Amino acid sequence: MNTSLAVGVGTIEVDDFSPLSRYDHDFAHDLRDAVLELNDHDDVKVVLLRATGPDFAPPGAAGDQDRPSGLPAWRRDFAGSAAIYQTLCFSKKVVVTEVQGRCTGAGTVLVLCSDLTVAGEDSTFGSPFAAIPEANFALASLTMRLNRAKAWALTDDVLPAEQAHAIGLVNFLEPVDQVWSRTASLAQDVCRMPLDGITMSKMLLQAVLDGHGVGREFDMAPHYARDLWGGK
Amino acid sequence: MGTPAPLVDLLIDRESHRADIVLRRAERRNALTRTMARDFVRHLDVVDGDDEVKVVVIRGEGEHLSSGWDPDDAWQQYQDAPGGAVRKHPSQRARLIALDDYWWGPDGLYSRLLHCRKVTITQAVGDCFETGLYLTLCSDLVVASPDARFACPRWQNVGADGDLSLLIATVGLKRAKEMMYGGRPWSASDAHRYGLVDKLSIDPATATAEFAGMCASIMRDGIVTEKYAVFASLAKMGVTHSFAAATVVSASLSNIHFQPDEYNFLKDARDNGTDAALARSRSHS
Amino acid sequence: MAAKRYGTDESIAAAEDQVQFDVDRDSGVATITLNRPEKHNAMSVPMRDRITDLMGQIEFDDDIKVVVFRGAGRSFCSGNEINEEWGQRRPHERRRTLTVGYRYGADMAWGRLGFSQAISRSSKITIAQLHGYCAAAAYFMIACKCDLVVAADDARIGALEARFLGPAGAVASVHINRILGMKAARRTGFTAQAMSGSEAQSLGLVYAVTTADQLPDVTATLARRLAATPTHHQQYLVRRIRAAEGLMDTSVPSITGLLVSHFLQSAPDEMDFWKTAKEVGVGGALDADKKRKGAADPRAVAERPR
Repeated sequence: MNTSLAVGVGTIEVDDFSPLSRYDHDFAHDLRDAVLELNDHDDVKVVLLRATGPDFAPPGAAGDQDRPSGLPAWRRDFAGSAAIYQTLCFSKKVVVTEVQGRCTGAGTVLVLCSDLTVAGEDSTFGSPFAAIPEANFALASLTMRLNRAKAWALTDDVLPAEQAHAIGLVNFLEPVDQVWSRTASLAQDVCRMPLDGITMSKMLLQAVLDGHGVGREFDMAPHYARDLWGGK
Repeated sequence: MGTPAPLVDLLIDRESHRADIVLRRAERRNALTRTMARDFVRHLDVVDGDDEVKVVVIRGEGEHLSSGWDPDDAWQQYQDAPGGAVRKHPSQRARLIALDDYWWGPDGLYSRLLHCRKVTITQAVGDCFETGLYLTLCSDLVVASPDARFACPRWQNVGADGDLSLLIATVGLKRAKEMMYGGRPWSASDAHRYGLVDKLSIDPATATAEFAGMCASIMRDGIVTEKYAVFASLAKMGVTHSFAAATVVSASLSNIHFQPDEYNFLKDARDNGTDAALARSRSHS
Repeated sequence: MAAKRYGTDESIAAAEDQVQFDVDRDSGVATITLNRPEKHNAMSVPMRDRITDLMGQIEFDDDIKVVVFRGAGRSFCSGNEINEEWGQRRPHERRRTLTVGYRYGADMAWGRLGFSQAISRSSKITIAQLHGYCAAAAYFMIACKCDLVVAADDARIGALEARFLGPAGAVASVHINRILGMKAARRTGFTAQAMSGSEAQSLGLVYAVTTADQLPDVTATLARRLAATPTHHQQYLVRRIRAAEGLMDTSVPSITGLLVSHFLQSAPDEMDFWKTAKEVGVGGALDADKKRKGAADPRAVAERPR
């Protein structure tokens, strides 16, 4: 995991984000810390999540039975308010995900928790709900409208990039060789907003998301987890 | 010399059950002052009390629906509010009161338009910025010409402070954030694809008339009853909460601090006038 | 003591054949077929009560994983029967006594005990298969309450009754606002224009669109595929979706439903739909309504946004 800082943009680079889908506790912990550090950094307006490999978050091998090591550790590192997803969702900065290739499981949770997504034309998006109980259905529903989120969860369809763009899961769709430059120009646009303005608008957003059930849906995750995994 | 033409006009055609509220300040791209907001609300009161009116069309004279708040009035509104002129900078209560009274509160323009008892149709042309965007969001139906553009440039200068619940319910969460942080206006066709615009037309007046005719063919009891049901659902969808939050955040953003390397819009506006600052902020990118 | 059944002896007796129920225990797919084709499957009070009963029965049948709603004949369903004697003590009694009005509007329709919530709260996956007209109550009380909608591309979907009865909650429903987006919810309700299956898909209501003749096969394939999901996994997904819908509070602001259903008055210059229907029948009243100024022809379909 590599964090770099340049003109208002804090970039977190990893090979891919699939370790989160495999409930790699160290990875989740490190990623959360990297985001936290950027959240509190006064020179940062944009937090960018980037995978340097061909896929943002590829699926695991067939038959993988990935489980966290116990529910308390899962809450600490994945589902709780101090863990990675809520740290991103309620970040003080504008969070951008840059997606190329396959994006499944935890990768799509990151996309849902981020503010803006730039995606390559080769990208695909699998529903996170089948395997990730801490995925937030309220966020999906507010992003792509209720019935699309339901259908995505129930059918487990993998959405091609164009469809993900059409339904509002992806903000900007670009040819693969232009994804980086699009992300850079987007980050530049965001950085025109004063830091105080960004922070204040994220406070407003948190209040609004709470009013829409996003916070309570995060709090329901332990019930969903017990339902999916049993009383482990 | 007759009285000058009103800057916000009301036309009523009872035969077709239609009223038009027209912004007539084309030379300033229909920038809205507090006075205009008040007049607009008074017209809504008239329309709400007229049983022959079923549909209200909102439009602007000239090439633009509205460029937003009148920049000269934007700061003055805080100074004129109670507690606004006690010290050099307006108090927080003055800022809150002004924002609530004229824009977001129950008697403010946006809230009042959202709670109009008749079907409201906005005809969006040219710049639909800030106030223009919120007229679009707070009306029931939107007809846009292909040259319409939707944005909130003030957000780029000071931070996003509008209602977000309406925006999210209309275009979705990530599109709403794109409007907040992306800083690029949406074209009419983008806005149509995202769900902000109901109909695109090179002849928006005719398309508006068609919509108005369809809406006017609904029985009065049906329209008004449904609007009251809509008011209940707006509360359930968090819009009431969001308007209150917008007032607080907007007041707070009117006195933010800028980092040393940031373009200080508020200072530029104070020192060099708002028009110059607006021009600079838009070329700043 | 059994709950009072509303309806005439004839309409109660007819309901079993008018709402047909089949279960394919091999695939786990149950089918509810509205079968009153001579009336575009308009739902009488006993038909709606039967849907509520069936959803209750389905709830406790472990073999059933997926429920498909469909209509026999030319249309899915034109909505509630609007010219019905269903056991009132006097004609139009539902306009005067709230006990019966509550029973009719809430318990038999949109309320906690009504058929529409029986569908939206189901612990099974629900699918609506739409062709021809899907209007009024069929639109907002069945199609919008199902998890997935499969539609013929030329289906006519929407609050088509809005002009003469008001949009009846189709604009205000939080559920519909979350499904279609706020502007489209207003547009469909306040213009009474129909959506085609394709437009409904581009707005987010419809999952899949196909031609009318392929519709049964496409729906059956989808239903069997979903029913084949391991039971525990399927139940986990449905339960978490139902919980999240509850958190988001997508139910209708139902308090206005009573007003909408029963107390609307037409002004002197507006057509009195009930009076006209009494004089020339419902079909005649619909024809008269189409001739009115500004009326949207329900056969015309709104253009598809692109």
